[in-house]
Amino acid sequence: MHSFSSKYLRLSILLPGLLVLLISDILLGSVHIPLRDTLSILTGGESEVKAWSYIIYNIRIPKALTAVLAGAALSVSGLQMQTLFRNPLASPSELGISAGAALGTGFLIFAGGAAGSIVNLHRLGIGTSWLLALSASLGAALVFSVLLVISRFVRDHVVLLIVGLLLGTLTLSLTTIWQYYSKPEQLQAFISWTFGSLGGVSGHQLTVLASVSITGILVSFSLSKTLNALLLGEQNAATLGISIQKARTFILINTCILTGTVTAFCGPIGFIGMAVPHLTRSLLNTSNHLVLLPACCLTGAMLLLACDIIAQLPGSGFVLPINVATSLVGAPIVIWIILKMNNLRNSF
Amino acid sequence: MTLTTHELSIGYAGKSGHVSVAAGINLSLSPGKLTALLGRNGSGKSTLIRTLAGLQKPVAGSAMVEGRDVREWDSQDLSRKMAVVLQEQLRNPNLTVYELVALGRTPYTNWLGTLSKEDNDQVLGSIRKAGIPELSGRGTHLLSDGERQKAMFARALAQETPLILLDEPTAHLDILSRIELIRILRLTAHTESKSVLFSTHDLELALQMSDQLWLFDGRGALLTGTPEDLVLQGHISRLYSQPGEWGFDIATGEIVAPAPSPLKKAVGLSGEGPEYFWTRKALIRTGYTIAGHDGAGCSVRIEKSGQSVRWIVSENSNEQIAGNIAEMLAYLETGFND
Repeated sequence: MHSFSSKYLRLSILLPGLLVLLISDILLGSVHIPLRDTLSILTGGESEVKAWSYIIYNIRIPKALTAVLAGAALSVSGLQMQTLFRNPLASPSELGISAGAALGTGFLIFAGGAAGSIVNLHRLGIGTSWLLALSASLGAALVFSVLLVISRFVRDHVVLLIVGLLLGTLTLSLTTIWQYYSKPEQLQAFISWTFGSLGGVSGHQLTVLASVSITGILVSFSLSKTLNALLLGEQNAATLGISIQKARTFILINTCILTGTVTAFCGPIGFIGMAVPHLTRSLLNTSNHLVLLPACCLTGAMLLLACDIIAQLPGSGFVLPINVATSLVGAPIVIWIILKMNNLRNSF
Repeated sequence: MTLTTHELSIGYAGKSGHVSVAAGINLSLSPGKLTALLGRNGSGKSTLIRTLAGLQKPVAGSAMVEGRDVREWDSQDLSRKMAVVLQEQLRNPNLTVYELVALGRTPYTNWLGTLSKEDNDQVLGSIRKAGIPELSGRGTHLLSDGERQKAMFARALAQETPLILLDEPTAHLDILSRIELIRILRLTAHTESKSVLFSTHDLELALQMSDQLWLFDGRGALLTGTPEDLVLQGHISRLYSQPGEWGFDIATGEIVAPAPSPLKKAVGLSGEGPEYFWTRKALIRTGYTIAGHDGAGCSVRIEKSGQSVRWIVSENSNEQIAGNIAEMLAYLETGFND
């Protein structure tokens, strides 16, 4: 397609941006490490203070990588959901999928914690890391399945959003009931998890997060033909030879695994999944998923890195929960989307 | 015969079992013909098209493409035999006409959906055949209703199928766009020997331009035939009429409202050409009956000389000359008793 390569060209402009944000994210933190030392540590050199090297390799790089992976994974989830539901307001956090993942995570913390094994989420072995990801994904799939059934009866975008928010509330209240019967240290572990954090995902968890995110994103690329056909609506896509049942199942599973795993390790992170696909569409002016999917990965990674930098409150020594930062950045974008709804209402 | 049905009953699943809207449908679509599907609202036009497309289960019987039940076809194989344009309003600001039409290549592209040179040629060719080459780069949200329908038809053309079904492509279109679209459909059917089926409310255009009519008779059966046969058999005038209010005039092929009652006097009319035709229409519309030109006490004579036309209204050897139909009607109305 004639405009195709120019879209990829515009896409590649994002790469230096990603690099700048990645380095800034590694550079900034509660401990001040000068730029020159940071760069020399990153390029394998020595630094003045031994601790700096430790901080960068064991805290900041894993955190930045987590931001990149989680940002990309959540954005791809959001894009898949928006196309499947043909709804500009669809996204994992707003339609209760993240809440489902929270239910799955809570299940493991409270039930597993009863056996005394999973109180500190950040010291999990490889087996329990996979278990946590699986449990969260199943929780997400539970809510997603209910949503798919309900969406057949709901034509209006905003109504589906409200239904999703209610489903999320319902799911969270189930988790809350559970909290009554839990020990204080489990409760603390769960509450601090709900704030969301990109830090502390390292070692085994990072391995699991990376393998799931990268696999899920590759699967979504392989779905791009199906997703493009779905732009015309399910019925029209069916007449183009797309198996709708198969498409739904694949998108459901892929979205739930991506969202579930990210949520399991980073907590529920709001707004990224809804905002990034819109930013990307208006940036590249395309609906073609072959372009949108890689673009969402880049934009999502960049936005979550930016949120992480904001969360550091550079120069202050305080760190905000990542959820607060994504809300500060994401909520205005979502309001802007809703204000634009007059144009958007018919565009899916 | 690419598409046939056998004792097909169509309908939907209601609260108490299946509700059938039409039954015992046996028909076939032949290549190279444009077929129009007519019927009043709710008669089952969309249901029939969706059932033929395999998107909906028949209540009984079967719809077959090349002798095989549509619901047994592999969906990708079927999409190379039959293209369907449903009534769905697409307004995506990030999707151009070219990209929309390119989606018609879905059944042929590789797993990523990238377009080969042949695919691109097909897309351009389809856009040209649909008569919208200048719109290729435009966003689908900027199209008029007529342009959007042509773009959707181009998408169906890009699918390179022997069968094309369209559900009410002329809805919401103005008269010129309707004629233009149906002309393109007919041209496609005739020049590429495809079977093209479209449902419509547009009786007069369907009678004029389609090779074949499928007509829901309002009692759960589907009548088929050439437009003229269905007219002469009286089916059209029976279905398209409201006794005493309006109806299909078998003599002119138009839907006409009867004259206002009570009827006015008989008027003799003489003249020729389009002026005669439209003067006659004006008189009937306003409630006069037409008598032979000397069979009535009152008469209108149309005189043409070069570009100018005069209507001479005469009654009891009084004459008035009118310069247009409005004046003529005014003289007839007021009579000559001033």
